[in-house]
Amino acid sequence: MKKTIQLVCLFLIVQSCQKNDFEISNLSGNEITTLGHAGMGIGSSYPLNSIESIIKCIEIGMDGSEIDIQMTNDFTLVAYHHPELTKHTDLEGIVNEHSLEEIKNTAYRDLPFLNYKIPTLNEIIDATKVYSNLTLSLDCKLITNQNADDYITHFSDAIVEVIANNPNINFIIESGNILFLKKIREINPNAQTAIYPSDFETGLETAIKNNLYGISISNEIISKEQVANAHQNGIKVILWNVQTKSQNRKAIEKNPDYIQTDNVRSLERLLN
Amino acid sequence: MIRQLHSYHAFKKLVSNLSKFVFLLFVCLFCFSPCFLANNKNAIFIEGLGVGGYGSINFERRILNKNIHQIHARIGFGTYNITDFTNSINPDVILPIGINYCIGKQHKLSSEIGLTYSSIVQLNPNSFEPKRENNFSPYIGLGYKFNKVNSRFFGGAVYYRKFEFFEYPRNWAGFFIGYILTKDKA
Repeated sequence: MKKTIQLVCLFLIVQSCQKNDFEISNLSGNEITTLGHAGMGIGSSYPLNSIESIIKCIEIGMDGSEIDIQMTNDFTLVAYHHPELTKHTDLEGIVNEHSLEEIKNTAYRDLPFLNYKIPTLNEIIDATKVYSNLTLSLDCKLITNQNADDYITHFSDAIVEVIANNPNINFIIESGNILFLKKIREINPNAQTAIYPSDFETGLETAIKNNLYGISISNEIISKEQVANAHQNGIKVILWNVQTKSQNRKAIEKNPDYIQTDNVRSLERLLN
Repeated sequence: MIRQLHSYHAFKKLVSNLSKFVFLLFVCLFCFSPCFLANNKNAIFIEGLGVGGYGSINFERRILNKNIHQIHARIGFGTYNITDFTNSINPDVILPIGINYCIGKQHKLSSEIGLTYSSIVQLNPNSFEPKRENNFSPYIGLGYKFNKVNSRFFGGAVYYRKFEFFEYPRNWAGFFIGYILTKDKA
C-alpha cells in the first residue's frame, strides 16, 4: 500500500514537472497569440460573447478574444453568436431585423444564462480598454434579409470606424465574404483581414490574390505543412475549433499565428 | 396604461418582498423550530442540475412520516462559478429551499414546491465592476425516489417547472443521490 502511494506521488511529481517545450516557428516573432472563442468558449458558464466571458478569458491570460459580430437594422454592431435570436432570447428572427433598442431590451432567456444582456461591440471595447496589447478578432457574421450591397457597405463602414476609434487595440477582421473584406481594405488598407474558407487551398489562393492578412480556418482541416505553406506566402494563420487539451496541443504544434480556443485554461497552461 | 404599468411593478415588488419574507421564515423554521427537530430523519443528497445551478448539495429533514406518506423539507447550496469574471473568488450563490411530499414505501412518487434564491455575479455596465444580481425563482417538481427498505442510500430523478424571476417558465430536470444520516428507531 505504502509503495503504491509512493508511486502515485512520484507519478504526480513527474507529471507536474513535465515542461511544455514547443519549438514555435511562425510569422509573428515565433509567438502564438492566444484568443478565447467568444470569451470563455462553448461550454462556459457565461454566454458566448458576453462582456463577463470576454473579460474572464483575458484575466486568465489570453491575449484577447474572438467576438462574433452582427449588425442591427440601425447599423450598430452587437456581439451575438447564433444566426437566429429565437433560440436564446425572447426576440424572433435575426439581429438585422431589430433595432438597437429592441436588442438592448432583450436578454438571454435560456438556462443557465438567464438575464445576461447582448452587448454592443463598443461596450465590449469600453470594458476591455484597461488591458494593454489587446487583440480582438471580429468574426463578422453577415446575416441579412435586406439588400446585400447596402448591408455590406454599412457593416464595413461600422467596422472601419471601430478600428479608427481604437488604435491601441489589435483588430483582426474575419469573414467568409471576400467582397466585404475587400471593401474594408479599400477604406482602410492597413486593416488586418482574414478569410474564412471552406478548405485550405481555396483560402490560400483567395488570401494571396487579394493580399489579405491571413486565413481563419478550423484546426481539423489544416496540417502543419499547410500552415508552413501559408507562412511561406506571407499569410498568417488563425486556428479555431480547438476544444480540448489535446486539440490545444495539436494546434500549437502546427505553428499558427493565432489560436482561438474553447479551453482557455488549458491553452494558458500549455503556453505560459 | 401608465397606471397599469405602475400597478404591475408594485405587484412584482410585493411578490418579491413576500418571497424574501417566506424565504427567511422558512430558514428560521427549518433551523430552529423545536417541532422540526423532534422525531426527524435527516439526510444529505447531491442533486445534479436541478434547482441549484449545475448541481447542489442539500440537507433534507423529514417532518412527517405516516404510513406511506412522508413530507420532507430541503435546503441546499449550489453555484455556477466560484470565481467571478475578474477571476477573484466571489462565488455565485444559489440556495434552493423546498417542501417535498412523497408517497410510497420503497418506490416513491414525489412532488415538490419551493423557491430558489440566487445571487449571481454579473457586470455593472456603468463601472464594469462585478455586481450581484439577487433574485427569487419559485419552482414545482414531480419525480421518482427510490429508497430500499432499511438502506441509508436513496436516489431518483425530478422534472422541474421553474419560474425564473417569477417571469420566465422553464422546463428543467434533476437527478439525485443521497444518504440518510439518522435512522428511525426500531
